[in-house]
Amino acid sequence: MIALALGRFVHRTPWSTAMALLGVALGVTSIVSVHLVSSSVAGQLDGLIPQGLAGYTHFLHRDDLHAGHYFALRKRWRAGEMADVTRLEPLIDESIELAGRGVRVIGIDIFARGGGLQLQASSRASNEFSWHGVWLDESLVGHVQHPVNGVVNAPRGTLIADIGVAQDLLDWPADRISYVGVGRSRPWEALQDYSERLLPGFGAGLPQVQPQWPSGFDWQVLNLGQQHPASQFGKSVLFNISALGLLAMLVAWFLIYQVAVSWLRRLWPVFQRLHVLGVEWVSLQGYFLALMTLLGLLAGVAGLAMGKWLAQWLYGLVVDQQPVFALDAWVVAKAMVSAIAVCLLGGAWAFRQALTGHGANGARLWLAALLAAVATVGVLVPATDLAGAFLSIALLSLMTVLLITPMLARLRSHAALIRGPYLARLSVREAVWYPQDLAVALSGLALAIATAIGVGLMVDSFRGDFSRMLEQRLSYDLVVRGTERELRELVADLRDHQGVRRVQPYAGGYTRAKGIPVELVASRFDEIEAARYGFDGQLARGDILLSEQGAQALRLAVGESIRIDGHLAVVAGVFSSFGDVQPRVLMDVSHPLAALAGTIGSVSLNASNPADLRGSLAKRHTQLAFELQTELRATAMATFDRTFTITTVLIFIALVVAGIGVYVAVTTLRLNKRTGSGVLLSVGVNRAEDVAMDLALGVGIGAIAVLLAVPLGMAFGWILCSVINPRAFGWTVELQLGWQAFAGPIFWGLLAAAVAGVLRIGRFEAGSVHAPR
Amino acid sequence: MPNVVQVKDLGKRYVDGDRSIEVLRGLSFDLSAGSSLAITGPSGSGKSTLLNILAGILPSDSGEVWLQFAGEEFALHLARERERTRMRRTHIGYVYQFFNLVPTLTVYENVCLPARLNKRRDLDSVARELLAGFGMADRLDAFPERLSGGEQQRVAVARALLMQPPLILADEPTGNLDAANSAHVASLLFDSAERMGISVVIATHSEDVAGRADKRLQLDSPERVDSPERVDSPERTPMP
Repeated sequence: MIALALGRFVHRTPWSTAMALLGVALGVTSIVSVHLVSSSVAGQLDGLIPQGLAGYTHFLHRDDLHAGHYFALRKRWRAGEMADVTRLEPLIDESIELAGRGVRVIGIDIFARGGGLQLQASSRASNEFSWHGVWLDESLVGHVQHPVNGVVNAPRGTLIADIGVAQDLLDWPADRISYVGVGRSRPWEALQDYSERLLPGFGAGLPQVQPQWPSGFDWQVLNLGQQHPASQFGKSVLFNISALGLLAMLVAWFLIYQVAVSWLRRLWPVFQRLHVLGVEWVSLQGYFLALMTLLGLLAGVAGLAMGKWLAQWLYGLVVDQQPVFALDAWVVAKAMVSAIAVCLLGGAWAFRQALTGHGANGARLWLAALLAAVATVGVLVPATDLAGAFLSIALLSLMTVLLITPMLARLRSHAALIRGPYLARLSVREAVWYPQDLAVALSGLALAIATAIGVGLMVDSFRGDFSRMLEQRLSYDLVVRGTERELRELVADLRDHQGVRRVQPYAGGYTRAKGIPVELVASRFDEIEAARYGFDGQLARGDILLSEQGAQALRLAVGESIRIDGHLAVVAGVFSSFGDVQPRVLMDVSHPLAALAGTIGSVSLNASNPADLRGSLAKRHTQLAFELQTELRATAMATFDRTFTITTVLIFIALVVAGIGVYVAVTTLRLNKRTGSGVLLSVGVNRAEDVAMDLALGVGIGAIAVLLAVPLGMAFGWILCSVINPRAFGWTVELQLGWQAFAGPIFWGLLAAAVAGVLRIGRFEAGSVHAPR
Repeated sequence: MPNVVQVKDLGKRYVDGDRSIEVLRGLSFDLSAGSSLAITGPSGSGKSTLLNILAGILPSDSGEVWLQFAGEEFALHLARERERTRMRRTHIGYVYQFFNLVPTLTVYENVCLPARLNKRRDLDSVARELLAGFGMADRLDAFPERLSGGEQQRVAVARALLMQPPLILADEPTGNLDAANSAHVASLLFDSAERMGISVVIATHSEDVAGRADKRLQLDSPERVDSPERVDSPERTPMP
């Protein structure tokens, strides 16, 4: 009978039920889409690390490394000095030019790996395995003399071979190696792996715990992220996206709780009567939770389907591809558990609150203070890494949620101060009158607006800095890329060309500094060129300019020096380098390090009519790629904006879900409104005034949410710019408080609340106001 | 004296699926200006429905309802919802049994509400005087939740009187009060209305309250009809 009564209740409240389903389904949609996009990107990022170098946790470097160093270390390992080390292997990882192509040669000790092959070849070139053979990526097939053991999925230009073969290719002596790979058993390893599957990119945000090494250990140790900065960079982006996906989920959780509160308010009189008739509360709670579970189940299934579609759409927007995503067990479990568990928890909590009343405001204030203290630690202590920064955001959000009820209670006690026309006055006051019914929906809306403001501030500030960097950097009219031979021909061709004012060739290459991979760029660093990097004057012979990421990774400041490949380099300046995936070192061609920079890879030039010049040069130099400055700028800005597409969509979803939450809360408020609506009807309030009052209520709710969201959003913006960006990518963004970052979120937040207020559908569903008495 | 209210052959039924409840049938009565009418009858006999029809909140199904205020006549049974609302705003005061006050407005604001809706700021001082006269001078800035039941009803009566409407409708205004408060509120309502020349229609279960009215209308239990077809029965007319 009770189940029948609940079924009829749902049947009589179709609109509220549909809104609840839609809200929860949208929350699940954001979870599923973020997971699918993130796991796909994570898979590609893992592919950036060639198979031969995968599986290690740390990499050991030292100057003039040779096999003797490795064997001495291995001896200590075998003697039991490094008990948690499970692998210790010599590695070669260098770049050479083979048949006119840049090739990354990776040498591994196949014998040390048990003689077996752990490389997964996508296809095998021959049936015969040769110890002298190599594994290649597709681009090198047909360009290498050695026997090919297999074609592997690896970054373009990768060649993997046994260590001896690699030494032969590099023309190295038999005792020379690049570095040593170490595998250490990590505490909570299995848990971390599961976490990564559940939240792709999650691992990048965790603090890196430095393992203990034996005494007298004098190797330079790099972790996985330091060794493979491109992969780490991408995973940091993923972590940011995943964290925003969690926001949409958090707002959806609030919505579920609000739905539970609203339904309970309508059902409570029935439950009370049933209890009086002898039905135990626990039994009534069971029926209610079964109803919530059904809601979660349906919303979970709908969210899975919608999330898959959204992931494909988002992926297509960002990377211009249309992959087909499969719903694996992890994402299905994540979606269904999120939907059902949160429905159950939200329902149980709402039921408990209805039975026992709400917690004291004093306890909330103390808890909020505690959360603020922990959040401060997460922001101020760099060792907490990305996870610490995002935890701070989460704790600040939770703190705001905790403070909403006491704040509304405070505002309620000063409600008489709210003035204005009577009908508007009474409606706006209504927004603070029922804290328990409104607090959670208000929290959801405030968090969504705050996040939109915070991310907007970060994106606008970032855009400003990025644009300024482009302004400074893109001072040449035309950029040409190609092989050194073709570029030298071009430079010779331009020598007597009228209308060309300046020709600037660049040589580029890679090396390691303190074991960390760095990009080297050598050019003629006169005053004009140095000014592109914010440096006044000509770069001296022994000086270098270092990217901000490089300064952070190598722990160097202006005026300090470093030895790279035996050459001393003094840091004359640090330049911003948004978009770089690894540290960059710039030097004049006269610097001894310039020899390591390799061949000329690009030429920039200034011309009086660059478009015409490109046209004429492109006809004569067909192998070269020409790009105008304006095109480079447009491409850079388009890439920048595309990067934040997912962010914008996720915030939009969070706002929509929050808006639905407010609508559900407003329907609950209308249950209270029976105490006033009859009077208003009797004094002749007409339909237009009624709608205006609902609008005032919605705007009142929105205004309170904005009041909370603005300081919170500014805090989010500051954390994103000054804490998360340096920790994730190694660059700082100067926070700029532009009005645009506030205007949009405030407008949309107020609009969502106003629409939720004036929405008439479902107003007279079961449990709502009836004719006055 | 002209009639403020004139009801002719009024009918109202509620339909629920294939069942129909005829709450009012063939009801006719009139009320002269400045006089009072008590409506009595068992629960569900249509007292509140009748008041809601007179206020223009509910439309009637059949019959005629004429209201005459300041020489102007309203055919309520023909009026649209918008016209009925406008008429109610300017010419009728209403007092309920429960939930008489808007919880988010103070006592003073609740009383001033009808005047503000009619853009009559000049009545602000009248509101203060009325509330003072009802013993509420020190509660002007209090919200309704701080008031006792009797105080809330006094404020409601003050609000109904503020615009000095030609007609006040009161739906069991003392039904929720103890005997002393009930007598006090009834006195305030009837005495003030008489002094101001306001007609009163009051629905009540209380014999004492009904006894204060000039006339009484007794309503019977409604007819339940299985098919929505009309069933004739004798007319109900007010008793002198």
